[in-house]
Amino acid sequence: MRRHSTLVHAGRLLVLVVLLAAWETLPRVPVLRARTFLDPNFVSLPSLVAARLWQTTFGSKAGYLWVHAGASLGAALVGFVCGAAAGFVMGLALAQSTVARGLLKPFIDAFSAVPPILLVPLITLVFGLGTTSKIATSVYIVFFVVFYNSYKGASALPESMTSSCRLLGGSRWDIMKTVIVPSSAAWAFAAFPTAIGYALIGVVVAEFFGSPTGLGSIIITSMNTGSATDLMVSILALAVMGSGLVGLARLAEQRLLHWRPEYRAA
Amino acid sequence: MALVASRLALVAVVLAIWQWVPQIPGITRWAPIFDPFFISSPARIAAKFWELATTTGDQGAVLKSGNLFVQLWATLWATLLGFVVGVTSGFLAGLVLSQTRTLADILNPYLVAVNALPRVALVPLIIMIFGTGLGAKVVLAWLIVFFIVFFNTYAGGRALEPSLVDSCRILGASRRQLLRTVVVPHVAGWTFAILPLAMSASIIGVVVGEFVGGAQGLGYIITVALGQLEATDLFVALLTLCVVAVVLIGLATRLEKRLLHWRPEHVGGAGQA
Repeated sequence: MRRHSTLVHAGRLLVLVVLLAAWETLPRVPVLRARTFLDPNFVSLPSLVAARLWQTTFGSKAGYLWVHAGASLGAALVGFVCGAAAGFVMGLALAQSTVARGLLKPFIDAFSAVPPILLVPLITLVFGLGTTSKIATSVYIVFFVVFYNSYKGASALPESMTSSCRLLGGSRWDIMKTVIVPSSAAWAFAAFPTAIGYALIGVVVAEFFGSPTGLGSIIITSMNTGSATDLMVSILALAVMGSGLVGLARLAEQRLLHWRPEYRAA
Repeated sequence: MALVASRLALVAVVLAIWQWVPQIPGITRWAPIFDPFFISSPARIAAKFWELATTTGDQGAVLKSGNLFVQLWATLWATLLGFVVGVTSGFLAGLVLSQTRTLADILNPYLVAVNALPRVALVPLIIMIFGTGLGAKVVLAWLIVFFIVFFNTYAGGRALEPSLVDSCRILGASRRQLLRTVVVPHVAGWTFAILPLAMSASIIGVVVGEFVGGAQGLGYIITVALGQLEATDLFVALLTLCVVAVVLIGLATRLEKRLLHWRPEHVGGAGQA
């Protein structure tokens, strides 16, 4: 970590103050309010957002935000676990079996070529407006991210490593258990921060389609009712949750993979 | 050969299940997912495509003939505009910020915060502010594309080897020469490398915008079809959209390969939709 000069720290503070001050004052100017999007009805005000944030987390309406954030978080996590497990197993299987690879890989490639978010309406049509759709979206997104990394990990294993093990008397099962799975798992872990971030995005987009719970549903309701403050609060909550999840996944990855050369230096 | 045959067989089996399993009497009672009401059927989808391609009358509930092309064009145009605007502005911002150290240090915590924000969540906000027209969709695509391009370009600018710059300086290069012959080509390489991802981001921005508050476009058609539970129309629009997405991303990948044939890989920045 580089040490920063006072200029940088002062600059950072200045940027924050200027941004907040501009956001708080500009929408109050009548001309701007009438002519541009700088209208509290569109962008709210920092003071309103802070008050609402307090109200919905610890204040009089406590629980409101927690319930919705919890619904999104739960769906993202369940989807993440299932998707990661499926992606990992599939990645291993396809790396091991030539037949399975030849048969299935082109189809997985074809599906992965389409940005998964575009398929959310189809998932909603099939699984309905509830939690199932959210989880299904999250599973679908996570699957591809983890699949490709596990597959790469299991295929990138040096031939010499497996043949040495075989020479030392390792059975197929031994090699699988002690060499291929850990190596491939390391690659899968490396994909987890990205995967969990995508899972949350998938869940929120799925909630855009008329789900009764979740941050995505409050975002859409706020948009439809023109409540900019609620919209800002839910976006903020989502941002905090997203960076928290990704940060945790990074931490877990570093913990679990401390034996990998990439992490040894740090 | 046997492999290709078995792949085709797999496709045939999936299509056959999709087409005929729903016709087994009573199956929808214990597996509602097989109800053609939800999943349509390959025959219906093909018939709908054929109808859209050949007739001129108004037969469809959601998709009428000629309509598909108009909607496709609306999505395509917004995607391309957002892509061009986003890539250009992301490149310029990344270039400038990677070359001015102090400014970059000051803005760094904010950039990290913005990068952590799921940009798709901003779609409803933008729609509330800018409405549902072409402008709003371009802003949406720009918002997502800009950051992806910006972060990779910025990472590229920071990864420029000091020894290379120093060597050029020793050889007498002026600041301008240095910028023109070393910095910009190097940084542009990083921008080009991210083009396929940027195209995918542009599509996501536009289509999610159409999902949430569209008045036109394939994404809008898909949501209308979903709302009216017209599975066949949904599949037709969705398949068209998938083809558009795959073609656009493929083109961006080819562009990247063409522009970067002289360099190995360089993707390093963070980016998410």
